[in-house]
Amino acid sequence: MKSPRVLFSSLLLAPCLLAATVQPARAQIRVIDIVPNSQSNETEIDSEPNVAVDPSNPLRVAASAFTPDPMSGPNAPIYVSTDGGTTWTLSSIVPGNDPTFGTGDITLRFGGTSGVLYTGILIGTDFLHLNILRAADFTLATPMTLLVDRFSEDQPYVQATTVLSGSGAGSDRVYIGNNNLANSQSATIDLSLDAATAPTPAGFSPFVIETRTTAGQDGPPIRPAIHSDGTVYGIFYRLTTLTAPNLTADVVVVRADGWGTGATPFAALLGADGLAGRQVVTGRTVPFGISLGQNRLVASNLSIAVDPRSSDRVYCAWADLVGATDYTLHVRRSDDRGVTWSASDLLTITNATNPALAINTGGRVGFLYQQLTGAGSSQRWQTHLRRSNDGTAWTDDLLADTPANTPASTTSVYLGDYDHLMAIGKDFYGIFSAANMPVLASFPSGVTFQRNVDTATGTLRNVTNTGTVSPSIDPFFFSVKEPAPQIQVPGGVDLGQACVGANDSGTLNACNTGIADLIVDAITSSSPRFTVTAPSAGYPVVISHDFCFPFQVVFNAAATGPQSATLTISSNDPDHPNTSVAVLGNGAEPDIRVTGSPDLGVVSAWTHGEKTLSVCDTGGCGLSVASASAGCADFTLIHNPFPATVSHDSCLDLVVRFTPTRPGLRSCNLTVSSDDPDTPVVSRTLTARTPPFFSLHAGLANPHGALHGVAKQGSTFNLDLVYPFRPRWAWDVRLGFSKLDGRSGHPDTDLASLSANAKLTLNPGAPVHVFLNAGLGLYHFDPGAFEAGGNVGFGLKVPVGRRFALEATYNYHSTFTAAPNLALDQVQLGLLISF
Amino acid sequence: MRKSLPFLCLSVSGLLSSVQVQAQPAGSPNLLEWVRESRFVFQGTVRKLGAANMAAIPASPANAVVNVDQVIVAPEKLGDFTGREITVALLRAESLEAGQRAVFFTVGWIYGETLAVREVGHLDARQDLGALREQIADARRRNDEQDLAGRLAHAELVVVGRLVRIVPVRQEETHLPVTEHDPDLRRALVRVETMLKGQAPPNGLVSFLFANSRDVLWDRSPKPKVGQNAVWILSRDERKGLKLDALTAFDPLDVQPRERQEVLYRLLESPL
Repeated sequence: MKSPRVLFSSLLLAPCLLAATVQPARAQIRVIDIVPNSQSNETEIDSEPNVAVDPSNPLRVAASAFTPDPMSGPNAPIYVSTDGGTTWTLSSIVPGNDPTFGTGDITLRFGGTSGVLYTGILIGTDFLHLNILRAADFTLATPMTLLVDRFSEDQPYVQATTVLSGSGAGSDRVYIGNNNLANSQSATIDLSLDAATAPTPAGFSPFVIETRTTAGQDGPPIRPAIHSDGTVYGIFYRLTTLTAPNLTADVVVVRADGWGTGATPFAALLGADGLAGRQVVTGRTVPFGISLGQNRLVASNLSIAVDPRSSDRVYCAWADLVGATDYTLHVRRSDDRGVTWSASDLLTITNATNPALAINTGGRVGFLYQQLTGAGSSQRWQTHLRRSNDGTAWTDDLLADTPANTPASTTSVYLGDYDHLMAIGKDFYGIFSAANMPVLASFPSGVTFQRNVDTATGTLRNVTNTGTVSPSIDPFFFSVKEPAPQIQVPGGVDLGQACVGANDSGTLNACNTGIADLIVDAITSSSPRFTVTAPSAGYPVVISHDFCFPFQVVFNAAATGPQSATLTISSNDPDHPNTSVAVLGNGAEPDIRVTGSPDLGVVSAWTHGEKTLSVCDTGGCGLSVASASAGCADFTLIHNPFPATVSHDSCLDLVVRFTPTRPGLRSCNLTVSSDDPDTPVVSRTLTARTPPFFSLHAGLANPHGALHGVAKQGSTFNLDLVYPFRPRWAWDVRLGFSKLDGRSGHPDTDLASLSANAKLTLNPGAPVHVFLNAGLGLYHFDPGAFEAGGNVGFGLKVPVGRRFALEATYNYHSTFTAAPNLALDQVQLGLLISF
Repeated sequence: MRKSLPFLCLSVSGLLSSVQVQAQPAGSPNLLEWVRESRFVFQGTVRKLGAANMAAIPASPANAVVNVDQVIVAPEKLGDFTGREITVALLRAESLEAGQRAVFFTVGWIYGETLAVREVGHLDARQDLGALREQIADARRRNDEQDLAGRLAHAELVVVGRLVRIVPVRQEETHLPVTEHDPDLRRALVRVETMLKGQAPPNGLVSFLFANSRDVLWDRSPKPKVGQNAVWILSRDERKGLKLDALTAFDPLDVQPRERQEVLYRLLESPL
């Protein structure tokens, strides 16, 4: 466990910072003119743009506008970006290119997770000729697949998603609002419940969503909005009079539940008259065929968006004529699935067009529109993005503020009849068209161009950068990274080994990759074995954007083996208010091993022997060794590091010295005491032995038996090799020589003997040892013969130091083979010398 | 903003002779078809085979990085790509070698920081491109005349005359829906001077509908003016989505300068 000082130091060194106060943050806005560099010469009216960002990979973006194929080929282009909108190409994959405008109308959308791109177009070479198209991979630059081909259709507007779970999971659901002008009830939504892979027409069928009588038709825009729970809204103008330039219309919202399956899918929301479709407002005057600035007004301005958090909440926007000459946008909201709507506008914008709504995963609504300001030659088009958490307080970011009279239009379209806004996660993406003069002041939120420009002079440059190019209208893609906190925890926390019963700690870095301050309210654990230490200042912890905070996680192992838990970080991240983090630990114990042979072997009495033994810890945490001892005089621990702690997977050495206090085999218990829970005391028997003794004995020999008749007392001398093999027992090999004087008339008798004796010491611990011995031997009598016999004896031995001993012995020898019996005894004094 | 398709570098010759050029890799190419189909013709040098110089281009062994040595035909709005390297998707990967020069007939493919085009065909490189330019210009003119001949064949009346009156067309007559793509139909009255095709009405006035709208679907459609003296190629144009039982002039070729009436007469007499 780290000491407080170490922890404090690590806090200082870590790339982390604790913000003291909550700082307001602004959204990060990027605005990009998407006309590619190779098209720097172009002067098209690239208006009425649309954009699709792939929800499964926001780096993949497709966009459209009234942009023709630059070489007037048979297919119209879309704009393609695979780097999140930073760079763009034009790829001509849409059939029916008009040399001036590409397509008639075009909108596009990706499936939710499929990556499939869908477009709805009016082909540029015909009149009100609908195509619904599909591209499995929009980057391949191959023509899109035609799914639906129909006439008398107007303004197809695509929305798409992928079913995430439940019935139909994985299938793309595509809803395309269109004005089927073959019917007086013309508001229509073509839908497919599995559009990604099915062959033509990929399950698409048109469903009329108008249930009331009309003045002959509905208005051009029919806009769908999809919620992931299967709720699909649609909005349209029900036209009740058709006298241009002021049509009369109701704004009607329809709803389908359960993805719109069934014969009448958009009948879930009823009006007061009991018919499907709720009138948000009625009897509104909608200009048609007049212009706002240079942009025509064609009753094309509707938008609807559903809150990803709850399909109950839905916003809508429409345009109408409030006074005599205005063109006014209105935003309203329903919190009950479209049944009732806010009685008054949440937002009212005068002299504006191209409303587009989107709601992010935090419930924040975005509203894009283009407003005409000023008068006469000073008129300007201002493109605004308003955002609000509650529909009451709105931010206002000015994306573009461009002259309304330059370029001068030669067509009826200028900015177009729509633009688009969408949200993925908490971020907004959108597109609008505007005059493309590279005057930086015209883009207060910043702008980048791919085409050649000279921002110093505010002029467009040609493809060779050798001349200027006339201003025109370009599509501008924008993205808005919301000032929301975004928690990121780089992986789980593995605390490694911890000793059972002890605490170990590690660091949990909680990082903020968002824009606004991240506020961590608490961190809880699913197991009491893992806890997060509250910071010294307590909760909440405020983490500035692009910084991390190192929380300390403590692991208290209850048992051996792997253990885990889930830590839950509660924060103000709108997408991840509760972030789960896996934490792992492994409970471990010490495990003592005493290694090395405890046998010191043969050690001369003239020197000493040493042996090294190791005290090791093969467990998972440190071993505390209290002592190591050998309680014998012969064995001493000349290197004893204990008490000490042995780290796991390491050893400490003991050195044992054997200095024999007595000859023979010696043994002693080595005892090691530790905190090993299974073997707190380990004993090893130390053993060692001294080499054999060499002894010299000399004394008197007395004949017995038949020998007594021919010999009398003589002298005797023995050389012994004594090898103790037990504390009490020893082998004693004796080579003896005796000379007995001959009795009268008899020669002296010489006796040589070789015998093997077993020697039993009765009191090996006493200062004077009493021993018995017995053995068999061979005897050579001269004169005489070889005989076999045995001897028994006893004696006293007095050790003198550890190298010498004195002995007094008595032995009686008797032959078995001689007849008559030959026998003698010996009384000797001897000196034993240890090797 | 009205867009046209002027082509750079074309010098129209009066030659009507057939074009004989050596094709690569073998056989005689149909230069007329190549010119009709292609939009960007240039002489270039192959820098690298099996490669591309834009990240957005799908990998293929048939791609080649080609330096544009001389532009022969290009859309005016494209600008000058002389000296720049572009990517060409070859018809056959093995048809050219690195370092080889050729005249490429191409159509557009991908437009990014530079161009990627698809090959329609290619010829051996020329030291003198003048003759080839003339052949291409001639083919271009012949293609234009083929298109015009097609309109003439399709026409019910071909009238030389002066437009004397334009009147609005009531919605009750056309039953067209309310749409931003409304053609804003107008009826034009032309006093006939000469009938190149069809019978003149007894009163000497021919009426037809034209689209006055500047909407995207109608911007290229002719916008006649009162007093305009022209050749009017009138047909019952059945744009599939627009069902009108009336003579119309919707196609950009339907109104021709009266100076071209000799050409038109020739095409009517001897269709290509």
